[in-house]
Amino acid sequence: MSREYNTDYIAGLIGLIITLFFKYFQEDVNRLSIMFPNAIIIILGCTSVSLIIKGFIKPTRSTLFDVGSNIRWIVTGLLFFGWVIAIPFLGFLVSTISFFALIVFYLSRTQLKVTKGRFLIWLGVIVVEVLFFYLIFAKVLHAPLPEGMFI
Amino acid sequence: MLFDAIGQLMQPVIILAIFAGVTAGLLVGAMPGLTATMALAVLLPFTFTLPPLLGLVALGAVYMGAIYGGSFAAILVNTPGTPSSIATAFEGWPLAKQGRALEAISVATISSAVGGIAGVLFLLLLSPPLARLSLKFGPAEYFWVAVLGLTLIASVSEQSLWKGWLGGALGMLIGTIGVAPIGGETRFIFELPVLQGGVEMIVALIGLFVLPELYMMAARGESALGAVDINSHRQASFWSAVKKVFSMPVNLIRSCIIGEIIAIIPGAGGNIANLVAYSEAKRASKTPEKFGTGTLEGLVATESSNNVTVAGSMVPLLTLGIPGAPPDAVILGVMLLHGLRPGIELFTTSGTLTYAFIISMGLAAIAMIPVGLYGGRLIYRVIFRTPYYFLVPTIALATILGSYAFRNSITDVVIMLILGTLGYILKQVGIAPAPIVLGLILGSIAEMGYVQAMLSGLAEPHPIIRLFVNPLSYILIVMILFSMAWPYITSVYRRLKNRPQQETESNHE
Repeated sequence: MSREYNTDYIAGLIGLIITLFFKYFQEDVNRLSIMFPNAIIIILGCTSVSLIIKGFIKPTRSTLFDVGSNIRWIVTGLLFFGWVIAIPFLGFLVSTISFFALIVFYLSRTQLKVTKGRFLIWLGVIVVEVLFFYLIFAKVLHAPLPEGMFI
Repeated sequence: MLFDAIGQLMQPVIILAIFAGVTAGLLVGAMPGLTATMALAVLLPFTFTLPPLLGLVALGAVYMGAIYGGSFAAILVNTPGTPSSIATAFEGWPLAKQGRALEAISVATISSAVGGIAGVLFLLLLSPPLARLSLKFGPAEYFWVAVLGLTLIASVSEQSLWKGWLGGALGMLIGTIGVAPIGGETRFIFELPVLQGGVEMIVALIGLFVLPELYMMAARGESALGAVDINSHRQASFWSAVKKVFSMPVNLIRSCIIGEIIAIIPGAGGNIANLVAYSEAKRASKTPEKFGTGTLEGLVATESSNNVTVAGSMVPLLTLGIPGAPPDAVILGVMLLHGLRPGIELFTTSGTLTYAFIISMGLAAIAMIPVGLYGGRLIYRVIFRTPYYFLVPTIALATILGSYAFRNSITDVVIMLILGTLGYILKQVGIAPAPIVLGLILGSIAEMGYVQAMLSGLAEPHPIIRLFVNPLSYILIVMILFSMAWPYITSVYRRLKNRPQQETESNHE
């Protein structure tokens, strides 16, 4: 059975860390620019402390990250970040086709065995799909796309 | 004049423009990150060479289709296609997970069409008095409207009210990053110049709503929709949806009125209307506990109210020249381009053209029914049959494009990813994305209203008094107090109602 955690306490703690982070980085600006953010920092801090106190008095308990594989969502997230970081270097088309294929390859292994032939067919589908998005955005809607070394 | 206008609309080319506009709007609105404003801005150059009526009709149809199109992504992938369909995701996505996506799309289509037609009727009948009311809104009233909106956090908090407030405050704080709206200095940029532009609402919206779902799909190893049984097509048929929508007339009328009132306030459009209408539907419901689990009541409220704002927000635009919502600014540009100046002349000298434009939006609302019902089924089939390992990167690609397209900034895409990952972690501890987004949207309106009110009261001994001088402020304050007290009032009422029952049961024992 999965372990249950005091989520009030954890949420309050996260809120408090964010409050302190924003308070620490608060710039020295004029009253008009800071009066509203100051009020919000106080509200966020008070809410966080209240949640921590609630966590001690009447805690809400639930399991955390208990759906499926944690490794899988973390790796997928890292691939998303890698994809975005690669765009300015490789260009939109090259990076998107590469990372799209990587994600498909990684995630598909949970459901079926990826053979060379199957992957080549997928690669064709990926190229067509990415080109479709590219043409719609760049040529039809004239929306600028991120640029890099290649296309 | 009205009959002349109807006569002008009965041309094949106008009818074609309406259908083409609705289809184009639907496709753009269904893409997360592409808003109605962007759809109009992108299609604007195509209307330059068209005659004034044809250009305005096409843009009005695109606007109507885009607001409605946002519901597709909200229902099928839990991603509001536009900010106007945030609350649609609260009910549409749970319905889709129950295998009722087609039913949800049909109900959303009929509700949107009803909302669109209601907005046109409001515009035709109530333009002058509503325009006068909108003029009475000053900084203090904007501040109170934002506070009223923030009381909705109670409705959109999934687990605990405290966590909802924490999320709301966090959203408001994220909204303060960048240049101050008044004062002009940068705040919380953490010595990173790229943050000077702040966090765009659309970018945060995409990250907070989409990424957690993608992570969830990746963790589970299957699509959330792939594992459910599909409901029968009979449940999703046109007549079945019509019956369902009209079986809740009070909800429908209330949501349309809310949509109209919010639409006439300049700056507040469908993004606020759908949340307020959803919250009020929940408050008035006999089964509020079912909200968030896939109830049609919520879906009808949000989809009817947001489409009312399309024509509704034209009230201040056509009468005073004030765009009621951002997409209206684009339409104002087209009007000015063709020499049409907002004001009384628009309803007299150019009356035929103006009335034809207004009525064409009603026709666009009707055109949404065939386009939406067929288009919706097609999009649903594509999403349902796509394996999850293709769906995850495809949606990710759309989110990357959507976040980038807004300001052509790769920083926005990185911010979207960071917020989405943070949103997934916060969701695990019970802080839902909806209050964060609500705080982000309303925080900036509240700040602007608050600081402007303080500035206007500098000559007073206590500047804060400026927040309490207009009778409209009093009405809004009463509404806020009522809204905050409502959960407690209903809880006391239920306890009192159950007491005699419990006493009778204990006497029997």
